[in-house]
Amino acid sequence: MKSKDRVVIKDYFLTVLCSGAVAALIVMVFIPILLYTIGRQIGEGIPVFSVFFSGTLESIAVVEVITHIVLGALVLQYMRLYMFMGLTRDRAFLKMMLVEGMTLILTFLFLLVIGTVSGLVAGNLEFSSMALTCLYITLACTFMFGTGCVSSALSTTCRPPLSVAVVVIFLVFMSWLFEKASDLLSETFILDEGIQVIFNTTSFNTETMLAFVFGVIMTAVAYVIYKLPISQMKSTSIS
Amino acid sequence: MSIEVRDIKKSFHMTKALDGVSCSFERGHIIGLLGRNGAGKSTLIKCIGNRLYQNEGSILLDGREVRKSPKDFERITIVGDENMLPSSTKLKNVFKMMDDMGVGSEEKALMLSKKFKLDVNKKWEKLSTGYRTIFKDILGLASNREYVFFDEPILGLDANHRELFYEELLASFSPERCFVVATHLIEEISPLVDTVIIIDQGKLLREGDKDTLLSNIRMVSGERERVEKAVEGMKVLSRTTILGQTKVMVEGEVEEEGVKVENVDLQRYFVEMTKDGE
Repeated sequence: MKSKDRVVIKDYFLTVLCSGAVAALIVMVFIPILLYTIGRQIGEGIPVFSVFFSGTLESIAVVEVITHIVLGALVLQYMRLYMFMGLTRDRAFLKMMLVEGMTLILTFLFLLVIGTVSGLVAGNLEFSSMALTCLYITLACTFMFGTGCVSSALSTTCRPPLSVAVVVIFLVFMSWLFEKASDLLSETFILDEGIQVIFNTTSFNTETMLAFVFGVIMTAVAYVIYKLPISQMKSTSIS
Repeated sequence: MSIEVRDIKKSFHMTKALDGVSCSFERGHIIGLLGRNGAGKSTLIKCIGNRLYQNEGSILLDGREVRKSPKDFERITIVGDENMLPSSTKLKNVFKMMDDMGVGSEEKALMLSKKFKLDVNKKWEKLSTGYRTIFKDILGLASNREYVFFDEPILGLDANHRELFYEELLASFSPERCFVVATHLIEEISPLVDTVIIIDQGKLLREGDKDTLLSNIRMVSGERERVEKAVEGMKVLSRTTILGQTKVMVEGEVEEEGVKVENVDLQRYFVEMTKDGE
């Protein structure tokens, strides 16, 4: 069955897979070979190959997380494309959220594969723990996507350099809010004698969850911005 | 069966881009949306296409607000002057998407690309100005939607490509459709359009059937006194006097002897209507 969105999905998937593949190539092939060669040149003991693969997942995850900022920023461009195809702003935005949702699932699966491969080679694979790490990283990707998405949405409200200033101010504000929320979640409140409210939880990575929540909030803010009368989905010239 | 624009107002800070424009785009017509640079043509099209929100007024398709009706919005294709494509997407993929989403025919788009010698394996960002216009024109021509708006479709095109565009525009047209061509290059587009909408400084100047509009317009020239006598009591649209010789464009028949009376073509009419300070 042909998906109506296959072109956009393909673009988003390829972006995630290509950036991940390049990162994997560097971390899993290029750096080990480089270190191996240098080790031989200087006559030092060559580390066991598996040593190179510890921490591979985290290194590649950084690239994936950054990629999702770019994907967030691309939302505006693809919304324009959807609008050309006859979709209203609302529907174009929702389509993009659907595509990003699928891309997040792909990111999770990609990281799972990388984590499994590197874990097997390194000989320290703990699947449930690794899968949870992949989930955390994917949730962090949501935060980055939200950041990119809200930035591109804000850029439609005014012209540069004012739009740049608006984006920077908004992101600084959100970072401050994020920090405050993180602090709040690690505190223990005493409401009354004997009654304590403890936000701190060790069962789940609270900061990652918070990042996810903030990602969703920022995406929702982007949606609201696109609904504003001042939001202009056009080039800057008036003709 | 028409798109009705009702009293649209749109401002950019202190600039009034549209100041109460009302007009309609009916099926079965190729409409020339004419105006000088900065007249408000593109802004009007962008408001219809939901790229911009108007400050006041409404845009209706068959009586329903277009912005609130996704089904109606799907009946319109806007080929605007803005960069509407992701820079990294190959052109052939956009044609594919167009087909997938039922906007138009990929086959037709590829056929037109061959005619225009457009390399569909290229990305948008790699195209020259002329080919960007060609690509957008192809999107419009391959569209199967009822209402297709072309904003400056001949910008940067050479004479051969312009001819080809006109041919394909006429070939794609049918009585169930409405094509709107927004341009400030009147002379070439004039034979194609049957209806004109003239906008100047954000205001509607004229709207109507091209032939009917021009049939009643005359350019009267000659010695000042004779010309003034000839056009006495008539609606004067423009007046120019150089070295005692006066040229006046009027509405109505002129029967005075001793003055030269000429028919007016669309370009002359447009120029006179949109002259600075008139």
